[in-house]
Amino acid sequence: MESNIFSSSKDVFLDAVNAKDYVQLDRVSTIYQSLKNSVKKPLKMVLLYGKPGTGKSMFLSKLYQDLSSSQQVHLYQTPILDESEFFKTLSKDLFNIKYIGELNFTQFLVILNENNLYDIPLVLLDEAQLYSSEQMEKIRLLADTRKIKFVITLHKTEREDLIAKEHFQTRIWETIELENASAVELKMYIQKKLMKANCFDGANIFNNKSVQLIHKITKGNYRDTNKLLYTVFDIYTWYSENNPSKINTRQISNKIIEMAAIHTGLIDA
Amino acid sequence: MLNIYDLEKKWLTYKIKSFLPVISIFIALLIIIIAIYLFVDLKKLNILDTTIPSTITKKQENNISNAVQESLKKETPVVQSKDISQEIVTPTRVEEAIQLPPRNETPSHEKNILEPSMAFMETMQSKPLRQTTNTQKTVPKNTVQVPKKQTATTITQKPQTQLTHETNSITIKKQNTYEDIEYVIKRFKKNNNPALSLFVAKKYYELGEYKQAYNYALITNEINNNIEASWIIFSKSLVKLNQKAKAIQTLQQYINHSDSNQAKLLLKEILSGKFK
Repeated sequence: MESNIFSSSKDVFLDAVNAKDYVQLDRVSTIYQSLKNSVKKPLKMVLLYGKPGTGKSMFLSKLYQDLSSSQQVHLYQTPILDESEFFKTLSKDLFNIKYIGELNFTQFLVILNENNLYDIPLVLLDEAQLYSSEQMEKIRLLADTRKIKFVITLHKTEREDLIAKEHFQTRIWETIELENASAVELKMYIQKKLMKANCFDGANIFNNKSVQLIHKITKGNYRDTNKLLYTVFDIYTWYSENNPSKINTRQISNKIIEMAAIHTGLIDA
Repeated sequence: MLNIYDLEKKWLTYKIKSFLPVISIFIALLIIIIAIYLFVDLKKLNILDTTIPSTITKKQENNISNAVQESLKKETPVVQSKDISQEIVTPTRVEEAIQLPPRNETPSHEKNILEPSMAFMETMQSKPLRQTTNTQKTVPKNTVQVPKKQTATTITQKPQTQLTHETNSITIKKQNTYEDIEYVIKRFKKNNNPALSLFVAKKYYELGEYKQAYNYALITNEINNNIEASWIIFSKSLVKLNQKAKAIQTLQQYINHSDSNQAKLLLKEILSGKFK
């Protein structure tokens, strides 16, 4: 019975980008709302940036889910690094044109000019730092035509800052930065996530101290937190099956949190 | 796949590692505190060292004064009880006490001390005179040579037999006199004053320890052969030690030398058998 609780709680923290798993926190909701407003504005580009694991992909996924019913939105979670393939995919998704053979930037511009859409389509590009600088330049030129709107996400690193400066500084109208969660936000995130999955027992075992320890280990990074808690519940599952006397089901053990952190590499033992 | 046992081990090492800085900081702080404490302590000692000389001299003075005081106490037994009780409590008084008796005057102290013992000696001498006037018996014995070793065997029993006849009050006195004798012997060893050895001889004679009386009388005679009382005690002790002939011979020689009346009287008593 107990192992089932831990097992189901463990599944909640599987590292998967799913809009259904989006947890609404105060600060995050404000940022999301501002992103939604920015999309409605006649902007050429919106840059969403932040450290890895701060929820950029989740934001795009959530935006896609929310806007797809009201307007044409296309989400590309994995970058299409081949240029021809990128334009062919855009041609197919935006104008429903299946292009056979190579499709270069000029040919795509012709297609774009020939097919005027009433609503400007929104293209969401995740992991944009993986695109080459040439390809990024072409994406900028496409945005300049005001016939396609782009929302791109970038990892906030030195290299990506440079990309942002070189290609988007003068063209981006809106930049949104995503940050790690505070300890309070993290507690809400964990509990809301568990309660959303009906894991009430799992949600109740987290107290302020344990969340502070988790926050200390993960620095409020959502991806790391998910990874850590997945392992925590994995360890709990093992103990409940093999040595149940060693665990307290009422309160999460700091020892197990630290063990999970060691296992995931968040703590260097 | 989770390996919990391995994880538990890793966690244990991690915990030890995480506590190491805390422990090392604690130890470092402890060492610093101890070092500071020792430093402060040493500083205090240094301060004391600079201030101590004056105090030491005072202490030394006190010690010296105490030593002097003790020596004075020994030399002046009458004053002893008064000085000790008062001067130990207040060291200033000790100093005063030291200053009072100048060093050159110590012989005068000795004279003062010896006075009562000399008086005692006189009383000792006076008693046999009265007794010997009434009886005269001659017991001639020509030659008696008594070796000192032989006396040693006979002496040990005689005092005991005499002591058994004495009352309890006398034994208490004896204890006191023994202490006095010891004290006087100590003094005698220091200054070789014949008056002191004579006093000891008389006391021993009084206590019935004739061998000791004989010895101290002999010592006194060696130092000064003109002390009448010493020859008297010497002779009396010889009689008591069953060396009557020797005693008579000694007395005769002394009479020839000094023409002492007391010696003559004693000789008569011995010869008549009145003095045994």
